[in-house]
Amino acid sequence: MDVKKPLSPLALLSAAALSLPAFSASQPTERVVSVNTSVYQEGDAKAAEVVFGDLQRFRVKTNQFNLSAPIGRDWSMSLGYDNEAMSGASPWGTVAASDGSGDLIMSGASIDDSRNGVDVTLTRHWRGQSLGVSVGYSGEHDYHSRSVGMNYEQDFFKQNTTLALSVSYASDELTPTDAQLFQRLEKGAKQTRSFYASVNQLLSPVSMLNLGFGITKRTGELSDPYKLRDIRPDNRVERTLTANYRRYVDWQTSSLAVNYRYFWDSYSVGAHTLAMSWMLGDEAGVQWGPMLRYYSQSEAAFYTPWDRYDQPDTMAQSSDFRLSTFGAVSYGLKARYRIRRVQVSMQYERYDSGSGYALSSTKTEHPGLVDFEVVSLGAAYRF
Amino acid sequence: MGSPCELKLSGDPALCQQVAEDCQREAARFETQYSRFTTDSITAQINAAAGGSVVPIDAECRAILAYAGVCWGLSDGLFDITSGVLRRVWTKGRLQLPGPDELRPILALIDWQKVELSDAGVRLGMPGMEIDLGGVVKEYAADALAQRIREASVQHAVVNLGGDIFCVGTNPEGLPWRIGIKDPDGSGAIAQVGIANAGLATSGGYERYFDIEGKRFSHLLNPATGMPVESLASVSVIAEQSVVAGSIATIALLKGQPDGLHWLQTLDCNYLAIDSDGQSFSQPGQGLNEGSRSGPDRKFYRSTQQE
Amino acid sequence: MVHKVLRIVTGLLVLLLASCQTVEPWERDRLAQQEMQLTPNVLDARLSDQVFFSKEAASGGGATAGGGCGCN
Repeated sequence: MDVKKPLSPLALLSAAALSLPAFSASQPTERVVSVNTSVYQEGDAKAAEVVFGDLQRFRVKTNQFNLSAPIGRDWSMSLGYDNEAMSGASPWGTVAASDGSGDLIMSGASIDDSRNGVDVTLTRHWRGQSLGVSVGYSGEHDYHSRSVGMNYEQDFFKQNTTLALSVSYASDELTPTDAQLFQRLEKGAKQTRSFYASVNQLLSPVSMLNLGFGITKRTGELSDPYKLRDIRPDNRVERTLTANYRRYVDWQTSSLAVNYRYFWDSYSVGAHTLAMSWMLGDEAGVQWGPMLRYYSQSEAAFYTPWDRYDQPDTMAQSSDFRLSTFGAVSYGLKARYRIRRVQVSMQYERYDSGSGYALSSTKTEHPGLVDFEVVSLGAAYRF
Repeated sequence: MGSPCELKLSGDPALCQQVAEDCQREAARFETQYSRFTTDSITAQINAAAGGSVVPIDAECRAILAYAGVCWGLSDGLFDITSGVLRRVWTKGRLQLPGPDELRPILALIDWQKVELSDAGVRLGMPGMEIDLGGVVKEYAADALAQRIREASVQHAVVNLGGDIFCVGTNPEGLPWRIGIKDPDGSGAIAQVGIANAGLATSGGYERYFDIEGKRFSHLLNPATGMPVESLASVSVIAEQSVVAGSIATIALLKGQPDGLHWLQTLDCNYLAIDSDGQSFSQPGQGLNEGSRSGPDRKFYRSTQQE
Repeated sequence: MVHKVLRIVTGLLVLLLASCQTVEPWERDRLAQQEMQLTPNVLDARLSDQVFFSKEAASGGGATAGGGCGCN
């Protein structure tokens, strides 16, 4: 018998009781309403690296809402809504600069747009299994996306092992603004098909490992219509391998989370992501902790540091900083406080990117690399 | 079950009648399957094979035994389903306290750790050992019946199996069901509580007792010493499941005074405890599962009228 | 590169899985803590996914599929 005193005898007994046949194990028993509001702010572009356009980059205010509840004995649902208000300038293109790197052409007037998204999920639960279906819609004035997805989970070995499979399909439509004025694509369509499988394994009463594999195929108009010269292949296959580890430590009743992801795609981009967070404190009171993330990517095969007009239209190219070789380090702080049925959470994160952080070497750093900060405040009410 | 059982169902009369019959059958099933007395119950089979071969058991029995194991660990060994053998020493109408020589051979047969639970089944390690699942099964049966009632779409019901209660939903008016807590000293209700979608278990330290040499001894025995526990008079606990409420109440009683009371205070659940002096202690508690569909009213109130 | 990563991941896999014990239902109280979940907070995870999806080439790695956006 385990010598360590359990966290809470009540929690222990309740967990043990759940293995009795009368209790349906997989259905969640609570209703939760959660809201979140956040502000994302990018640092200004450097004047020395901008030849034209606004220096002030993106600012996004996001509001999110979610309601999750059990329905009857065997079902549960989740309803989500989110809204983003975006403003600021973004890179239109890059030109060669005298110092060997590129200079940015930023959009002239800052954009002011908003996005609204809705998603609904319905899940059926059985003992040890669940099957869920979701539909979603997201719309901006120049972009609409409709998606459907299915998620299946199955437990094995007294719920020590859980297998999860999910598939999804999204169909997007873009109608870029001022298309005729700037000679942009007038209308485009994009489809995304995705498959993901993961295995969750309990290693011990205090640790857990989750391994996943995902594959996504994007087809259609993948080039960025707002860039001056961005020509991408009309299909992209992405793969991910993920490993997530969780470890509970009795000292300060804290938990450690370590997430690693390796990404590689048909654009020849290879990326590593390693994120860690440490939360101290009991969930009945105050919890807080730091988080750290490291990211590194290698450039796409058709990436070019500045726009090439000497290449034909049929040849893929992009000077989008998001396809260049770079790395990023982000760090932040999270805090949660529970009072009765409400849990309030706060988060601050700062993201710094640079070619120096990348694992692969590169000759130039894209002037469009961003640094940003995100501040977030949320509340969840359980009833 | 050895105690009066009551079912209260509210809704369509024909449906309620059918559900009531269904519950009666299920309660009878629990009785015959787990009773110590019927010869073909699983308990009797396991006890008969003590010290011998492994007895195959179904998933439900396995889960019940595993649950009993958790209770053993949580109570530091006081809750031990192998302690029923003490019955052989503490017979009804006994006039003297047993001595150490009388208790020693019996105490040797009490050891939860000698209950071998494996994939093949269960085996009691020593001949003469006995397990008694009565306590856990009675409390679990209340939950099982409540589940049946919910499955049949009856929205308002009370299952009462000799003090182990589960309230399905609210009463027909939408208010929590009012349950009276019996005064351990005599007749009438000492308190009332309103519950909805929760289990309530009440146990008394001196419900059954031994009158020896003019002093009253509780029927609850310490499995390590074999002697009665100086217990609280009554403990009532509210939890999401009756089986959990019942185990907490039983463990609190087994820990005796004042340990049982201190232990209850460390838990995050609603309880009402009355000690041997008649003093009552109550904790509304925030409740681990406060965020569930249960109603907000789970406080114990002083009863103003006699039942 | 892919093979090297796969080899490291498999190695870690074998090491960690070799150490696993069967966790009984009543031993799962710590694992049931909110911060021990894969996604402790759904809204935070969605926000994070959206932010990184729009600023980096890599995306995915979980089952969260939300509405697409014109941001990448």
